[in-house]
Amino acid sequence: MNIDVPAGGEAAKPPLLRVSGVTKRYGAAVALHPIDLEVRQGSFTAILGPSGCGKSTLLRLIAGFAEPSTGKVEIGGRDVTRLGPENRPTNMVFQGYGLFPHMSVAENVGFGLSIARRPRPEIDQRVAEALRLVRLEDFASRRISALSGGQQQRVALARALIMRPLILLLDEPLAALDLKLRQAMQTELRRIHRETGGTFIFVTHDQSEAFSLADNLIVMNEGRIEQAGVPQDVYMRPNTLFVSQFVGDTNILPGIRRGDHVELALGARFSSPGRQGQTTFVLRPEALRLDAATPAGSAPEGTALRCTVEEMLLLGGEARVTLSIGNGETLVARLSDPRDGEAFRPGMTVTVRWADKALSEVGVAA
Amino acid sequence: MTGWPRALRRGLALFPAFGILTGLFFVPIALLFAVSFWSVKSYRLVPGFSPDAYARTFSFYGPLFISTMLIAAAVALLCVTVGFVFAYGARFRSGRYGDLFILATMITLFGGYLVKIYSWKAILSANGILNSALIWLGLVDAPVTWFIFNRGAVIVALAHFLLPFAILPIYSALRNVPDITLEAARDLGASPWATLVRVVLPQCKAGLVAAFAICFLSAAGDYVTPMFLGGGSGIMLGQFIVSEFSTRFNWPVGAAMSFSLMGVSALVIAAVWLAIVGRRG
Repeated sequence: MNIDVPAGGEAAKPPLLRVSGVTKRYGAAVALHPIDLEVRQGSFTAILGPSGCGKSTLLRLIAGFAEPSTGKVEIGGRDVTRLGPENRPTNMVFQGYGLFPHMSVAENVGFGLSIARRPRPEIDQRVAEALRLVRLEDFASRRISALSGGQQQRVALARALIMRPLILLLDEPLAALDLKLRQAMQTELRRIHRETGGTFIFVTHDQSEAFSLADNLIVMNEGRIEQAGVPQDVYMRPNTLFVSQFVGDTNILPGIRRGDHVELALGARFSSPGRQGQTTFVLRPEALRLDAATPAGSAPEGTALRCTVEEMLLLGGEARVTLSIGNGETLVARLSDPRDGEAFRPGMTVTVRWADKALSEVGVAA
Repeated sequence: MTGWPRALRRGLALFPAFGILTGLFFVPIALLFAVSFWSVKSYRLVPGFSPDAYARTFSFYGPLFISTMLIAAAVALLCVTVGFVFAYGARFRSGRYGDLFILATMITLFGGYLVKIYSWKAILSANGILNSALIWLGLVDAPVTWFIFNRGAVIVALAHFLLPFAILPIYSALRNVPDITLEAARDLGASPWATLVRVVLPQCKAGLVAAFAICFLSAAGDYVTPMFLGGGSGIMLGQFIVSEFSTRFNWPVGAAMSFSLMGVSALVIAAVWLAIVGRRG
């Protein structure tokens, strides 16, 4: 699957990472169906999916901890499929960090260079640099057990980054941290990515984490890539029902296409050429507009429906309104300003509107 | 009064264990320590305060002391090495069968101590299994006599008996080494050997020293194995402690030898601990 490349000369450059036709089987069980994937230099890529979707397996295949059953992994144009992690230009930040408990912070960070038999002054200097990058300058001689979870996370980052990997791999990097720390680390990771200019790939099951960090999003499910692209595009234009549901909330609207028009089960009809027969559209809750006034017929470029407010939830910074269409169908709308929500009370008749271009077709729902 | 002070209650809870330890261990040891300064006059113990027993221990039994320490050290090193290889295999190379292998080593303990000594005798003696096999294979013409009744036979038999006691602490130390640290080392470019030396071994140092200590102390104090496999002249101090207490009825010397053995063994283990684990633990 090709990743969208921003306008400019970069499109001509070959991708830094190319995974082609990679599968992974454990006996009869298939962990990964054929995966094709390209990541360009300098990107911050998130592999997002529920647990068991194969995202960690894919990361381990890129790192070299597992060998694919079929297919090829290329980094910087070189085939690395048969190389172990010790021979790949990648380094990993492990879930749970895997720091060496018998070494100090500086010894942990310098481990890779010391294995590579770099001269002592170079190791000392690069350790200092790496610790400065993760803002742990004053912790060099601490023992690992004396560090907090967030500090250990930074040591793990420094230990991997000091190797100057072509690709930094992060396995659920923030999963073990509490919310406050997680948000702080997200900011840190963005800064470190910017300052190093490196290529980062991380695995997560947390969609908000993926959206706040990544400029390139890969959504996986059941061993397959469901969709890849710029996060905002994936959010606004989900290709599949799974993506629309896993990445944010969604309204699922079954319908039938006859000729150049689609009739949705909830009663709307709009122009949309394509494959005839049963189909499904999805609609993001924030694409809905509510209006207490009487409708003036059909909206331009969109749909307007009369409906009843069933439930209204004020959720701090936003409001969620559940609407009943009348024929048993419901819609959920999200209002970004909760003050708007206060105008709508359960039982009220309102008009809901949306632009037709906000609808994404995801094919026939299973 | 609502109850006794906390410290007192805690003291009472400790009492049974403390009582058993005091009554069955410290008191006899203290008595024996006192006896080591007494003397013997015409088969009678005479209380006093004389260093004669210690002087005799180190002058007369000095070479034997060294020999005993060397045998114990050889046994302990053998057990720690073989035990580490076994425990490493069970921990990192056996998947979920690791615990099963450890259980199997524990089962060998049911065989008992004397049974093992006699089986080594059956293997190593002049008309034993090993010699029969060598003759049958045509590798030797006459039975080899140096398999048994020497230090080598004692070391092999003691190591065989003590191996499970080395495996246990090493395995439990290795269980606390996270797999992920091995993966991290590999990811940072470390070879399997470098990972072993720089990541695995340092993380299980305490277990290795514990295994060494258990095997060293058990071997240093043993007198049955050398009696059966070590030859007639005696090669370990324990054999002579027995004879000082029984046939010679020289309790002070026997006691002095016991305490010297304990003291020197403790020094050896302390030195090993300091050298390997260091002061930081």
